Amino acid sequence: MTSPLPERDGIDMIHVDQLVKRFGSGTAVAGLSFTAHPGRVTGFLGPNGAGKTTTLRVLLGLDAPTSGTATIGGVRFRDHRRGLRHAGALLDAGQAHPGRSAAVHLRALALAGGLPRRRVDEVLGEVGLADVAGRRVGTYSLGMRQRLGVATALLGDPPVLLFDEPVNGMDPEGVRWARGLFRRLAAEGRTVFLSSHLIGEMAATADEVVIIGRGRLLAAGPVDELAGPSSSLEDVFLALTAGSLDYRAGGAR
Amino acid sequence: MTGLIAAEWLKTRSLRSTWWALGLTTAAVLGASALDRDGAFPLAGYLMLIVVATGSGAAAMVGEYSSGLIRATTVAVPSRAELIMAKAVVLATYWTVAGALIAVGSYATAQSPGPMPGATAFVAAALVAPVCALVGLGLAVVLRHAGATYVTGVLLVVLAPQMFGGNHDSTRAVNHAMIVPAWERLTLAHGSPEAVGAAYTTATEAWLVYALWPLLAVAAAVLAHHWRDV
Repeated sequence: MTSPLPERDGIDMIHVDQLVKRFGSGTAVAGLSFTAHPGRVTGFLGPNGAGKTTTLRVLLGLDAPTSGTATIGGVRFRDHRRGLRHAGALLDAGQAHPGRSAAVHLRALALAGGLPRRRVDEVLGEVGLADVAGRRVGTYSLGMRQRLGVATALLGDPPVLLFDEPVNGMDPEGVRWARGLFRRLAAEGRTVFLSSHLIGEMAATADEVVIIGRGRLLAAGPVDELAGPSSSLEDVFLALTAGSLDYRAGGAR
Repeated sequence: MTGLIAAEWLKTRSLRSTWWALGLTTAAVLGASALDRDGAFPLAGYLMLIVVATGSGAAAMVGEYSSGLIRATTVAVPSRAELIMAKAVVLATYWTVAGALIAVGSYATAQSPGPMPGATAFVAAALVAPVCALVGLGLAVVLRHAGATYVTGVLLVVLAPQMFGGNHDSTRAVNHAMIVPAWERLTLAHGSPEAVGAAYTTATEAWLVYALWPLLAVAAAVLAHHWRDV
């Protein structure tokens, strides 16, 4: 493994340790441990149902862990009174009330989070929604709602950013824009954590990957070490996850 | 906390439904007041207000759950009790102001207002709206399901007093613990206590009903929201 950027490490890292999350009789995350470091884009990969979203939800304090810990910057997220300065997140496109405009949505979050009002205009410009900011979110396309989700994540100018399937529904221009944005955020020294099952996109964007299946760690490390000249990241991913698929085309096996 | 309250107020006033619900309710109360020969605070109009206020309190949380906004809100405000308290403050304030204006309007437009109602009747007429809004908020947080919340709200606030309307002591005790009978007692909706007799509870008990329902509803909401996954 390449060594992480030492000067900011510990402050802004994402650290998951022996995390277990059960829902009733089902186990979504089963003893998962990994770390994501500042200054890097870390891809979070796994088949459907692998526990990616649940892990993100525990990290953000939405779900309580059954056991183990998940911290951002060494702190359980729920221990913050206000969160947006510590981490920003896009969990899915449905994070805004359809009856409110993007500007009002962001202004309410800025007020609640104690952030200056100018941040609203800044992030709207950043994601390219400034011209439609007065329109109700219910009239937005999926790609536009994803951009609003990215704006929400950036609102507090946080050192740690978590994105769950951020390019879902984006057009090719949007995908390229998002890729550039993630690279830039990491270059600014932020921890960028990106969950996806689009392997090609991940190979093009991420420095490191964390691959999980059925709630367990399968592999973690720099993309260029996991994927060699003879095998693509996709080959590696499919080989690793072959035993942990919950849903497979062509009937049950 | 000030910023959080400002945020919740912005969320409330930026929804069109907030304003047309208020307009329709005001029209219903004032219309009933002008048409009915039912005193200064007509039951027909006030039942509408009671249902809308309950629904409005519920919508403050149902809207968060159904749109997924609750996730963005919780990341912004991990301190969950504060979020519920801020919503409660905004709902209580908004509906107290609206309730007071509607009470005054209802008296002013009444076809047969009768003698000038006392301060108790005015205050009770004004406060039934915030009481119901907070009960709606509590139900929405605890039940988390839009349909279940609205149906339970109407059952609990409007229909339950009817179902427990008999003359038996136990059903009467339940009836007296409900919000609409407390409103009826305090606004003297069916005439003076002497004329109505045991169908009324005492004024003290009625005020207790006004205090305990919202208090318990908000407490249940704070606890439920604290312990559950969002």
